Amino acid sequence: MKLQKNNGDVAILSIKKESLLKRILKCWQLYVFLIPAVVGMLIFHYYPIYGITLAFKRFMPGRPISQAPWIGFEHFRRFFASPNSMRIIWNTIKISMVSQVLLFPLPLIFALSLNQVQHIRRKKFIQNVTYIPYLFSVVIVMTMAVVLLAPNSGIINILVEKFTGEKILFFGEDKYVLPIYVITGIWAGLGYSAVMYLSALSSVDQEQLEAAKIDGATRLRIIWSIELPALRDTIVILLILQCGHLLSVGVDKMLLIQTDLNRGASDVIGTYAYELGLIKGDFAFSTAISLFNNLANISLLLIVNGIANKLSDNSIF
Amino acid sequence: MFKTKKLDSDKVFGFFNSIFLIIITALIVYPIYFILIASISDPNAVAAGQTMLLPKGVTFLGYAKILEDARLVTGFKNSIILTVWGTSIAMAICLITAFALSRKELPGRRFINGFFVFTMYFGGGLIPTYLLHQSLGTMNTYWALILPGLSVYNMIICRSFFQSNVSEELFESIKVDGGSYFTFFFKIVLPLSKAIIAVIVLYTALGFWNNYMTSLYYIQDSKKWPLQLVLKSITDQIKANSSEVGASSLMAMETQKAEQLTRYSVVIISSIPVFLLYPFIQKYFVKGVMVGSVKG
Repeated sequence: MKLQKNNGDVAILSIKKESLLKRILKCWQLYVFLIPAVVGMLIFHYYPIYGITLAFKRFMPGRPISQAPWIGFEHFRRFFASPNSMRIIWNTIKISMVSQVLLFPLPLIFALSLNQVQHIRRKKFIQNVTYIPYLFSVVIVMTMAVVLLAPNSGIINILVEKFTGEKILFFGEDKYVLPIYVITGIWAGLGYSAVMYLSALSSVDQEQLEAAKIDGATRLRIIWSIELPALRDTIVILLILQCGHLLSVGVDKMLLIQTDLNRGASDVIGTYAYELGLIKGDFAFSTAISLFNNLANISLLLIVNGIANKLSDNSIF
Repeated sequence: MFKTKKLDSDKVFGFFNSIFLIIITALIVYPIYFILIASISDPNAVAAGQTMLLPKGVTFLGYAKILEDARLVTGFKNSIILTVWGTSIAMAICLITAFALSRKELPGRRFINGFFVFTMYFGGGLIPTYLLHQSLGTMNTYWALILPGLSVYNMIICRSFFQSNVSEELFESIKVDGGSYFTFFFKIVLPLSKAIIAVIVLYTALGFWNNYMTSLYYIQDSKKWPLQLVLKSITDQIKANSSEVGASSLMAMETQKAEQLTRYSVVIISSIPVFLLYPFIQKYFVKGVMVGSVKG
């Protein structure tokens, strides 16, 4: 009996083996389709992963990474020993925390508010207009900010001068870095983030809404008891995704905010790694800092994903 | 009695809700509007705060000056070349890859899929990639920006679209007629997927047009700078000028004046392509976000 069963298994296995080769041959055209992307990924994404070993080596200019001598955790020790690094890590955490805490509820409130508009064309108009800034590049957004905040002719400084009699150097002081980063972020992302919630809101059960209205529920009551719960899954997933960026401040944007005068607040891990690596040429040290940043972000993402999985059955993996 | 009370509270809510929405919309639109009218106004009137709502002393000098600025003109040209080439190549690779991975009979499909998804979460980072481009000789060429450009995210969106919108019967009928995957892809899949292709083309083109970080890393020759990098150097200049209150020398004042004339028009000019694409984006954008969120 047992033997027979085993024989059967072997037979099935051999049939499968034969057909696997056949199946592969049948699909040869599909493999041809995959060649460019696979080769591209191997060269530009997988090969550089080997280069991370540089974080544990001493870089020798003109010599390949494989020949560089190992020095263990020397770069990491150097990074964590310097008081400068603590300031940079703190800046990064502060800026990303504040901007995410503020950036998270606003699109939600905006979407719920916009969803109350009964007039379809008005609603569409506001939705279409408010995501325009999302289409602009960071450079354009920051150029706008620089131009509007300029001390000599920027409209905001003109208003400030009218009320206080003095001009503000917005790009010349540490205390303005965080507000500029956060406000431009809200301006550029509010409408776009709201689209996600609005599309989730459009799937709210209409019958339930009607029933609530007939029962005499106020609009606020409907928002609180029907619409907000309907957004729960979207909210959790967006929260998890955000946590993966807890230790990353947009380098692209920060480089545009940074001036020599506000470096006390605008030096973040990303800009520091860029500057050390590509401007000062300290390749190995820069790689170590980037690696630390990446690992910190991935661990945060996994931790939060795990917690969310336990609490609400929602997770991205 | 009960009903009127409820109606009243809803009315009050509706009123404040409308005011809230109007304020938000105004805050988002006004900066763009202000820059638009400031770009065609007399710079002195702008500096005096006289162009809050309407332009004053209408002039197109700012735009004329930009057209004379060789840096900006080449930047514009470079960006167009980069966007057209980049989008074409990225789209071609994205579509064929998505098609291959959408076929369930492909052996090793899950493994290959994981191979792509992994790169979304982990990569070599700045320096190893920089060193790679140095050794490949792609530094200072657009290849450094175009070749690594396959967006796995977009590829997954296309793949899901193919899977749910192209029926198996169509493939069977192609097979019966003796057609191959090639004919199936070009004759059936592509024509059926125009909507999703439009969305992804828009996203990809916008990405190439707006990208400045990778060009900052890999394009050091300022003649090859795309528009965004030129714009960044202009912004750096304005920031430097405005760090020192009151220009010290006459020279500095002169350059500041010229710069003030163009600072608004430069923003408008650089966003023209975005405005040109806006009607299409509007048509497909929300759909695109929804496809993305369905994928989750």
